[in-house]
Parts: sequence; C-alpha cells; structure tokens
Amino acid sequence: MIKILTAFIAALCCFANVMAGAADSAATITLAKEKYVFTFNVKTNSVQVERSIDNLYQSNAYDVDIPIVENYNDEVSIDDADCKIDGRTPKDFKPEYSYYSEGDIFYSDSRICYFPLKLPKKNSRGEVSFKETILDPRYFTSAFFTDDLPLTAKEITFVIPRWMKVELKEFNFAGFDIKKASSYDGKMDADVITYTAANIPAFKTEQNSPGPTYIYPHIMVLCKSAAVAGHNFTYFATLDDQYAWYRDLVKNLNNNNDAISAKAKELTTGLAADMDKIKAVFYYVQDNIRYIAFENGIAGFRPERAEEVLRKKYGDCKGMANLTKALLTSLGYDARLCWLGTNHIAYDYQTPSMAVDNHMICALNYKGKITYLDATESYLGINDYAERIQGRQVLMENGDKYVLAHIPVETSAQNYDFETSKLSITDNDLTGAITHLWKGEDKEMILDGLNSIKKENTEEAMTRYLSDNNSDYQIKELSISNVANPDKDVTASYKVDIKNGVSVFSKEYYVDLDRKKEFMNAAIKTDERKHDYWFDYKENLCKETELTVPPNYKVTTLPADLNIVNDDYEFHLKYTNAPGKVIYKKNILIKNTHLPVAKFAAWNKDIDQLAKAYNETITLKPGNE
Amino acid sequence: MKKVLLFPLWFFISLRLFAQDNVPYAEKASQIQKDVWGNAAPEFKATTVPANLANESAVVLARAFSLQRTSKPRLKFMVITAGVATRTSKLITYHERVKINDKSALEAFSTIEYQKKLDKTISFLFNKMLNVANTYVGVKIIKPNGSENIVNTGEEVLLKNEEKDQKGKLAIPGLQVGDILDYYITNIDVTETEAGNSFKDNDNLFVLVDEYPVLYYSLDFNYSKKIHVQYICANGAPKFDESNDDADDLLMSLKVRNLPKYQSQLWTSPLRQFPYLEVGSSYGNKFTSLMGYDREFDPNASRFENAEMGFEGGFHEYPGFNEPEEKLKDFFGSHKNVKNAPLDSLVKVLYDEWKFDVFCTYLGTELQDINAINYRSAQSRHAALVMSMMLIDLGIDNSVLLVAPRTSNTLENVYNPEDMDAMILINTQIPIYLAFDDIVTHYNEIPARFQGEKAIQLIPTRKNAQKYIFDASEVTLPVAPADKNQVEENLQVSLDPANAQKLKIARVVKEQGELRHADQKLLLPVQDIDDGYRNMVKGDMLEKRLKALQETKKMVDDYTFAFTKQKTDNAKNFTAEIKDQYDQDPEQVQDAKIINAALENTDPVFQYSESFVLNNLVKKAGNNYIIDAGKLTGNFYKLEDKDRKRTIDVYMPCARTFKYTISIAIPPGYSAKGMEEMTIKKANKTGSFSSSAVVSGNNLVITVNRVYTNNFEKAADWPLLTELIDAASNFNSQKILLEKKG
Repeated sequence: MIKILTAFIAALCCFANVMAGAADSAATITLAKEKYVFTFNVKTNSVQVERSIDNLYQSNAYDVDIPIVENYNDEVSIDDADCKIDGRTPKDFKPEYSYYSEGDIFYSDSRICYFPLKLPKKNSRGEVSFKETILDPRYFTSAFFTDDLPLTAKEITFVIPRWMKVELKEFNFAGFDIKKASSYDGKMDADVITYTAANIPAFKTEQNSPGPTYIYPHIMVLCKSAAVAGHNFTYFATLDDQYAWYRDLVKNLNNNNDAISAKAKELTTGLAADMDKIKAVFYYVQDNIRYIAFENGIAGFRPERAEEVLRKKYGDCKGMANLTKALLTSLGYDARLCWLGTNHIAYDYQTPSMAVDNHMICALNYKGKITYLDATESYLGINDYAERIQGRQVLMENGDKYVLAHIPVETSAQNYDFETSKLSITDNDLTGAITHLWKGEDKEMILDGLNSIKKENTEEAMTRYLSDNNSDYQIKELSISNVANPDKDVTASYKVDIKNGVSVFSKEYYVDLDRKKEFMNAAIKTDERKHDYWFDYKENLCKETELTVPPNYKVTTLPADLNIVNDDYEFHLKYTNAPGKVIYKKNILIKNTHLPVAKFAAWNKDIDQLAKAYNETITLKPGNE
Repeated sequence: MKKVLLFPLWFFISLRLFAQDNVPYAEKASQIQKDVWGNAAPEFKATTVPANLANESAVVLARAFSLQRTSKPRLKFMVITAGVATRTSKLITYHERVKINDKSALEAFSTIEYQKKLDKTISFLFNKMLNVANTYVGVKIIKPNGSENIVNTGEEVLLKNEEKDQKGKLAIPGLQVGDILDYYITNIDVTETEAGNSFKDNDNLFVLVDEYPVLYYSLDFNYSKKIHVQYICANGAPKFDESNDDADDLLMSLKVRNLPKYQSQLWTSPLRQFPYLEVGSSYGNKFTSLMGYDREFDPNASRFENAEMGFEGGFHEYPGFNEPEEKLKDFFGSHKNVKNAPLDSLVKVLYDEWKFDVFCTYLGTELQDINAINYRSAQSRHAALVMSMMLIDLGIDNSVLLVAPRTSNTLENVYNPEDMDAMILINTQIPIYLAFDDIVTHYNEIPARFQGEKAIQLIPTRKNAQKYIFDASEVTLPVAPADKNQVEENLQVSLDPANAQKLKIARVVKEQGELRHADQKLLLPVQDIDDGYRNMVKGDMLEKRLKALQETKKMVDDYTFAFTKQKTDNAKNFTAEIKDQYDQDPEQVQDAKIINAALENTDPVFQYSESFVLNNLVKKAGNNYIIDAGKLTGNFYKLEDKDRKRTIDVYMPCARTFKYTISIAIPPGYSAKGMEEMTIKKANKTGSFSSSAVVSGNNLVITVNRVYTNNFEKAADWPLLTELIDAASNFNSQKILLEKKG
C-alpha cells in the first residue's frame, strides 16, 4: 500500500541478486558516504532534506558491470548524478530515468535513475554520486547501512539545524562494527551526527526471511517538527500528529452517497440478521474487487473514494477498506478505517513515522466486539486473520481521535488441513475413499489456487495438488464443496486408486501409508542461509489413514511412533494395530512461525528424524507364516 | 477480368485520413472508434457461448485482424538536390470480443499495456524523415443484462510520458466475471525511412490454434499496388480470397470459424503440425535492395526461392574470407603437404580451423556473461557459404545443402532467410557432412533437427571471385540410428553406512550423438573447450589471440581470470545435472570430473563421473529395506488418459538409446527380492524396452535398455509408442527388497 521512503530498498530488491554474495562478490564498495542536511527552502517555504551519496567501488574481477539504480518519486528528486571510472567520466555516461514497476503495484510515481558502472579491470575504481532532495521530511524515514555489494566502510551523516527536531533511532546494530560521533557546527548552528560502519555484508535475498527492518542495521529517522524563518512545522512529533495527518486524508472522502447506499441495500436484500448482512458486504468486497494498486503521489496514502472503487471494481487495500467501511456505515454499522504495518515491518506506532505502516483494513465495532475485516485476503473467512497481520498494532480512526489496538493472535487451530482415508489393498494398489477439510489460511491457499486456474483445468489442478503431482495417485469422483463461499470450510471427497502403493515380495505386503510426507525436505542449509526462517502461517495438519488388513494377513512390523514436541512445533506420527486394520495418524503443528537461526540445528535434527520415520513402512505377512 | 470487390470501400478508407500529419490524436481516436465498432462484422454482436464451451475460462466470440499498407512518393529537399522518399503508412487493427467466465480470464484480460506513441522522425536541414507510430485503444464492456458501457480510456496511466515516446497502461474499470469484453488496439505507423520496410519487419504469423476457443476469426489485408506482398498458407491453412479494388490495391481476406484450442502434447513440432499463415510485405525499392533488406530477386518466385537466390548471391570472395584455409599450410607444414594430404584429412583440418576461428576468437564482450560462451552457435548460412568457397579453392567438389529444421517450418514454407540453415556435403565414397551449429558439433555430424529432412542441394561452380553459378537438386539427409544417440550410465549403489535410509552412488555417464550436446555445454569449462580446439589445430595460445585483436589486446588478464574462475564455478553444474536427473537435491557431491571431453569425432563419447548421496529412495520395514530401484534411472514420464489419444504425428528429438547398469551392494546378512518384477520386455517397430535384475556375487545387478528406433512416428503408431512408455513407467515404479536373512 503505502510507499516507504527508505533510501534504497526498492533498488536493492530489484537488483540484489545481480552480484554474488560477500565471499565471491565481483566488486566491493570500499567507501560509501551518505549525508543528510535539513534545509529550509525560502522559495517554497518548506523544510527539505538534501541528500548526497558518494560511493567508491573497487572491482574484484575483470569486466565487472554493476547496475547503478537510484529510486526517486514525487517526493524525492534527483538533482544530479555523476560517475567516474578510474578517475574519468565515461564517454558514454548517460543516466536513464524511467518508470519503475514495483511488485504488485499497478502504477506508482516510483521512478529510477540507472546506468551501468563498467569496471574494466581487476582493482578498477568507480565513483558514483547522487544529489537528491527530499521534499517533505515526513517521507524521510530511515537510512540503511547495507547495500547490494559488500561494504568496507560506510558513513552516514546527519546535519540537523537546531531549529529542526529529529530523533534518530538505531536498529539492529548488534553484531556490527558501527560507531557514532556527534559534534556541533557553529556556523550552521547544527548538530552533526556521523555513524561509521565497517565491513557490512551485502544485502542477501532469502525466501521466507523477516523483512529488512528486522535484519539490517539502520537508523530510523523521526522528523518531529521545525521552527524556522518564522514558520512552525509539525511533522510526526507524536502519534497524535501522525493521526492528524492521516485523518486529514480521509475525513472528506464523503463515502455516504447514493451509489454506496444502493449497493449496500442490494447486497443485504432478504437478510435479517446483522451478522449475515455484515458478511454479505465483506464477502462482496473480497470477491468482487480486484487488487490493482495505484500508488502515485498522494494516492499512495489517501484511499480512493468508495464509489470509485465500486465503479471500477478494483482497488488497493486502502480502497477496499474504504469501500467496506462505506457499505457498512450506510447500513448503520460502526465501521472504521485502520492503519497498520504487516509483520514485514519491525516497528509499531510507538515510533510515529510513515515507515511503521503499509496496510489498511476496516474494523467493525459490533456490540462492543471489534472484528477486523481485511478484504485483500481473498477467501479468508470473516473471523480468521492472516498471519501477516496477527498481533499487529492498529491505528483505528475514532473521529478526530484514534484508538490503538492489536489484532488478535490466533493459534494454529485457525488453520486446519484435515484428511481421513479408508484404504484397502487390491493387488499392488491401495484403493479407497478420502475426505479433506480445510480451514483458515489452508483453505485460503486452496481457493486461491483454484480460482487462479482456468476453470476447465480446475479438476486436473486439484488432482495434481491432492496427489502431490504423483501420477500413480489416480482420483475419481472428485467433489469439492464451498469453493465460492469463504464463510464455510472447504471440503473435498474422492475415490482413490494408488497404483504401486503396495510393494509385494513373495506374498508379503510392504505398505507406505503416507503419500505426501510434508516437511520431509524442510531441512535448512545452514551453510548457506543467514537469516531466520519465517513460515507463511501456522499449520495444523492432521491426517488419519485406516488400512484394512487383508483377510488371512497379519501385521508383522509397524514403524515406531514419532513424537517431537517443543514450544515452536510438534511432529506426531502414530501407528496403531487394531483388529482387522492399521490406523496411521499424523499431526504436524507449526505453532510459532518464527524459526531463528539459533534453532536451525535443532530443527534439522528433528526433520531428519521425521524423514527417517516417514521412510518406514508397514509389513503385512500371511497369517500362517 | 478484375475480381469482384469483396469489401466495401469504407472498410479501408480510414488509413488515408489517419496517415495525415495534422489530425489531433483525440480526433483520430474518435474516428477509429466509430470505424471499428461501427463497421464490425455481425459476429461482433454475439453475446452467447455454445453450450459445449460453457466450462471454458474464456471464449473469444470474435476476433478480427486487419492491416492496410500504402506507399506513395514524397519529395524531399536535400542539401543541393531534391530526392524522393517513399512514405509508407500502415494501419493495423486487432479487435477482439471475449466472454470472461472465470477469475483467471478476468486477470488475463483486465489490463492492457501499449506503446502509445513513438516518434523516431529524423530531422536534418530542411527535411524531416517521418517515422511515427501511434496506438489507439478502445474498450467496452457488455454486462449479462445486455447493457454496454464504453470505458473511458482517459483513465490510462502513462508509464512513459515524453514528447516522442509514450507508453500507456489501462486497468479496465468495472470488468467482472460473466461480462463480455470488446476491445481493439489500432496502430498507425507512418514512415519515410527505410527502417521497418523489409519483409522480415512486416512479417505477420497467424497460427490457427489458440489458447482459448475462437468462434470467429477474420484476417483482412489491403496493400496498395506499389507494395510487394508475399504470403504462405502452411499445413493445410485455408487460402485467402484475393481481389483488387478500383485503385488496383490488393485485397486479401480469410474468415475462419471455431478455431480449436491448443492442447500441449509430448513431442510435437507446431509449425509443422498446425495450420498457419505468414504474410509480409515490402515496398522493395532500389535503396532497400542495395542495403540488403530483403532483396526480392523475383517477385513471382516464392519466398523460399528468393531466399535461395539471396543465398547464392552471397558467394563473393572478400579479403580474409579464407583465413582458415590459409592456416592449412601451417598445420601440414607446407603447401605441398596440403596438396598431397588425403581429402578427408584436409577437410577435417579445414573444418577444425573454421571451428577454432569461430568459437575461439573472442571479441571483448563475452565476459559480460561468461556462462553463455558455451551456448553460442555459428551462423550456418554464412559459414557454409564461406566453407564452400574455400573448398572450391582447394579443388574439392562440394555442395551446399539448404535445410529447414524439423523443429520449425518446412523448407517449402521458408519465409525469411533465417528460417533455413545450410550445411556442406562432400560427396565422396563415404559422404562427408559439415554442419555449422553449436560449439560441440563434430566433424561429419548432422544436427538431429536436420536429420531425415529434405534439403536443396546447390552445386556451385566458380566463374570468378565475384560470380558463382549453381546447379540444384534435392537430397534427403540421413537419420542416425538409435545406437548413435546414446546415454549409458553405470551406477554403483550402496546403503549409506551413516544412514541406511540414504543411498551412496558412484555414477559414470557416457553420452554420444545428439544426447551429449546438452551436458557437454553444461559441464565442460570454457577453458577446456578452448584448449581442446586449440590443440586440434596447433593454434595460438589464448594470450596471443587476444593480443592480435584491437578489442581484446589489453584484456589478457581479464580473460585468464574469468576462464579460471568459471572453471571453479562450473563444478556446481554437476550438482544441477544430478538434481535435474533425480528431481531432488543430492548431498555430498564429490569427485565430479570429466573423463573424456569428446570434442573430436574420433573420440565421440562424452564421459563424466561423480559420487553423491540421495535421500528418499529407501524405506525401512523392520529390519528390511525397500529401495526405489526403478527411480535410479531418473524420473520418467507417465502418460495420463488424455495423452493416450493422439491425432498428430510424433516428432521425437532423435532416434535414441538409453542404457543403465545399476549395481546395488547387498549388505552382509541380507538377500534381495523382487527381481522377477523387474524383468520387463516390450518391443515393436517403434522401439523396445527391456529390464532385468540378477544377483551377481554380493550385488544385485539391474540392467535397463530403452530404445526409440525412429525420430518420427505417424500418429497411427502412437499406441505402439505408448506401450514402450508404459513399460518404462512401470519399471520406474519397481522396488527391490533387501531382506535380513534368518
């Protein structure tokens, strides 16, 4: 949703994988200098921040081509860009300026200035500098030390005139060699604060990592206020100020209008119970408004008018939240906009800043109970919360005031993947019937997948998913229910013929009852991975399989049970020999989605045990042997 | 007698208006909208989908492509004189009406991105050479209740908004599942430069299958009389209806109904098996010809014939063309030795010199992507032409073969010169073939994609350095038998002592023919190939070669460093190959090495070895172990029911053989069971599959052979092929039990 000015993140995300890791990087930044000077622009009567970047590069190989990319937008201008290689400006140096497409944003004011830095020889030196202006200090929220190349040394300097109130907050400095020095510049009447860092490894993209604000050393810049040249400026000195700025963006949206009222009435025709009406509205927005985000300029912060979102049938999180609110409000319910940061962001509203939030949802206050309605989570039921917002602090509108609250944290019971199978042996095959039930984010994952596929391929896609792409797993009479109703759990049932599901040797049957073996290959490569691993959501996986023992056969070996229990996860595999049948139960719980590096070794050990347990089979022999 | 006009004049009248310079964009947009929606075929009023298509993600109710191209002379004032430039104008409209039936289609059709304006007009002195392209978009939505809503395209965003370059993007507001989307995109190009004039630049390919069912598809073309038009109707595609209007413009039209949906299948060659039309045009003036843009030698000849004439016209001896030939003296020691060398020796060395010259001459740009060095390919037409001239100079009779790859269009359907390749045939007692292809192609090796193809054989005779004449005939290229394209693997397998549920594997792989190319390029370091080709011709060291060229004379250290590093980094490609073969990440990959690089045809088997550990192929059952032995040959394709019916022929990559010998160590105190189920034998005219397992000493030895006899099978023989595929799939599922004795 909301753009965050972090000075380099977008460029890093774009080009982080271009250069190799620290160990064999083709180039190094030997000295990086960033300087931020708060100034007062007498022409515009506004406080601005002048930013200068001066980086020195050294190549570690030959013919190294480093893509230099610098972001800018409506709030940040690039005033100058310069480049030298081995002391000379390249003849063909011509920075390009163009539109930059960010992630799932349809259109924004994000732009990039880019050019290649071509270092011809080993130990060639490159110098790159930029001069920029941040037009509004609110948009200057942080300065990071990390870059897409390993850094030998970096200086970040803040020149803060005494008329400017700024707080600098340090994050993730532990384990890094970063020093701080402060001085006073009498001529400028300004405090000069310089941070010096040494040997900072390059930014590293890893799947399922925490967001950058959790990992990389940086300084959060909290611009509070300024009193200069007879002007007083209030930025985000307190959360009240931040809320006031947000309030100003939304208070005149004028959501009460005929189109909205008519639509709300249409959606709730024939419904009597309040909850039914509320669900009808929420699910309508969820299902009928496509996520298309326009984040250019103020559109990155101000929600689209509700009737426009309704007309266009698309919007971003702000538009969807606003439409949800407008429809509910027109029906007389107490619905409010809420700003929040997803779990991608390390901060909360204790530090008032535009960097703390990136999402907007709607809150419904119904008979004193608050329910949070996030229409961007397609197919998630009204009482379920996505992992990315659970526990997050929300800034909820309350007229000219605000309320701070937290979204509830759910347990793994919210997400449920339940399967029961009744199987029997037919020659070399296992045949039988299987039922599934999915709830919460597991359900959302299934429905999301089904709806992203061409409808004529739905059955085939579902079959591939259920069989884990194993063509020996043949499914018939597949029936899936509630695919269009996110309020209900999704169920599936089918008949199955698992070819070669039984290994037969001299009339002995060796049966593997677990076709999916979840987490079997989930060991983490500790020699490669640097950052914590965050699971997408909590898991509660429960599978129960009943195998009918053929007449005149007995069970001669059953795999041992496996029980691994700790605060973060549980693995349970259990085999039970009952009269005429074997029952296999599997329960895997991911209770805590954050797996820190310190726990990787224990995790790997447990996964190894799980894999070994998975790779054990049941043996059935004729009863007379 | 002139053919009756098939279209009303108004259909194509627009271009004359729109090619004018001074009509504002908005006005043009408005007029185009009236024209496109006002004059659409009746099929563009359809609102219902046939019942049998109700379950489709989207159905194209109607689609129309129209192209109008005119040219006229324009006087241009140069410095002293005046000259005439040709202004060509092109109007292309793509108009489609789609029923959106699910969210996947909604996602696919809900945004349009386009180059709104591109102005590359060149201005000099008093003149402008116009080169402007503008795009106009119109969108409307028809709701299930029949109401129509024209979208305001002013809601577009401009990703680029410069005076001469605008890129637009439109998120279509109000579109929902169940709606009909009716949109068009019209491009108007006006140019007075030569850019974009050639047949290749104006080549439009229409394959008559689609991602979605298409109920109605019309193709309409209008070319002014000065434009040269050529088209191909391939693979049974219907022909255009042609006529001329009063101005003698050429009008071509085709209407097709119920276009089938494309279904992906194993082993196909779409440009051979699906009907398609290829239409192009050029205004072909002298300047165009002089610049070599699509020289049209004979407007009455086919595109292939013109390409052939163009190829023959390239036989001109230029300074330096015979550099590889000049090096023969160095190789053989003297001119006399060259003259006395046996023919096949001479030709071999010449070919090696060519290969060394092409693949081991570096131009300074390769280091930007060093891993791409092994994936370079020669330009066969140029190489064959030069080789032919050199052979003639050596007094060696030869012919040039023009051939189209079986993975693309047929030779008859060559449209652009790039649609065909060239080889050399020296018709001695045992024919010698010289192909100019990828970096690991051997002397006397025919690339698999040419094998079995008809080729035009051009026999050149030199008149002088600038003139060669040709006789022509046809030949068919031979097909290498299955045993010449072979993979042979030898695996020594044992239970990992540290964890008996893992397998330790020592693997030796031998590959030859077509089946060695991919792994050679992946696993051979760039340095090794360079050294190999240098040694073949006793060529100059890398340093000397680099210093000989202006572009690279200061880059010796650069290349040396890069080649050394690439060799070290290349080791991870062995892991990648194992992962690709077994569909899992191997552990403990060790001792990976190349045993034989097979850069020479005299030693053609590429061989490498490695050891590694695989997980998930062993299950424990009490004290016993079950090994997924069938999977040790790698994962194998399993046919689904829908794959069993086939109406189109089968284009295999090549005839080929796969052999596996897997020796599994039986731990002490254990015996092996399950050998009988591993004994499978299937054979028919399309190939064979056989497998067996026997205990030999302390090892269980499994042998597997799979052969596809031919590189092409008729659809009628598909059931025979499926027998072999099923046999191989069945083997892939087989397991072996290691049972504890007692």
